[in-house]
Amino acid sequence: MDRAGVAERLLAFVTPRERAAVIVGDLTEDARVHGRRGFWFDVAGIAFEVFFCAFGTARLRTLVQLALGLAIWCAAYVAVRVVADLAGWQPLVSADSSLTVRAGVMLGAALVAAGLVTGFVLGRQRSAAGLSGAAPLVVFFATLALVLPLLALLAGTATWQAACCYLAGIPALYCAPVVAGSALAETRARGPAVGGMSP
Amino acid sequence: MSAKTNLGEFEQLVLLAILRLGAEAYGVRIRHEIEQCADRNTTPGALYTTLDRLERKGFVRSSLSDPTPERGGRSKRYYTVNAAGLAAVRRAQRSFQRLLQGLDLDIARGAHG
Repeated sequence: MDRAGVAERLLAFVTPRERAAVIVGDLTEDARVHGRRGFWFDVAGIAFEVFFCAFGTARLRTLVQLALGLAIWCAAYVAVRVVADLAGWQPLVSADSSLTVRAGVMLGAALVAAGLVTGFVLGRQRSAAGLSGAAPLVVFFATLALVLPLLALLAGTATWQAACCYLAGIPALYCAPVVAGSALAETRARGPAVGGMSP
Repeated sequence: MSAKTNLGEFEQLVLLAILRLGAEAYGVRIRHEIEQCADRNTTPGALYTTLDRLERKGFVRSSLSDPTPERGGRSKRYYTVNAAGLAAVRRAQRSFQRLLQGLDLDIARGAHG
């Protein structure tokens, strides 16, 4: 998938797919015809402004979607951990408090699995403004990734390792799986694509 | 007057740019028109949220074109100002003119540097 296709998928998270295609078409034309730079910066800016505009027009509904998303994510995480415990892959509770490599990998896998399931469930819904049902949860996790390092800095407990974990780990293990699950749900709902291009 | 019928400053610029562009009013052209005429850098995000808001307010309508190769096979969304939008622009301009009356701002000299 080229960068325009990826950008369209990302923008379709916060706006109807058709509108995302038009916006990406505009950005592509602007870059190709007018030499405008900063494609990904524009995509991020558009996603940010469109999301908060949609949030502003339906605050309560967005917060309810966030609460629902958190509830589903927690339930999915617990379910994945219970299954892992029953399968003998990783115990629910460990007497050893240190995080081994294997335990870390299993924990990461559980987070990714929970995110995928949550994204798949939420991605089938859209608000009247075209916001994906999973968007509030992703924005919440992304906000945590930014806020937690700042809080650690203010508390005087900040380390570069912890900052890397927050800034890289949360997007990779929390945000990305939810986005991927949501994209999968939308793809299944739309049916097989022809040529990968929007009309 | 309800908030729904009032125009913000940027909304006015967008509507005027659409009117100036006529049949060629779509995202890229609207943004360039504002940047050239109003000498104002406009982020794509601000433009698209404003266009969406204007459409929800009933001031503009939009239509999709055929896909074009320079856009990677994606369509353009053309905008036109409808009667309610035109009335809103006229109302805003009349308000400006009434507020300007009696003020010695020498705007004409300022416009020519």
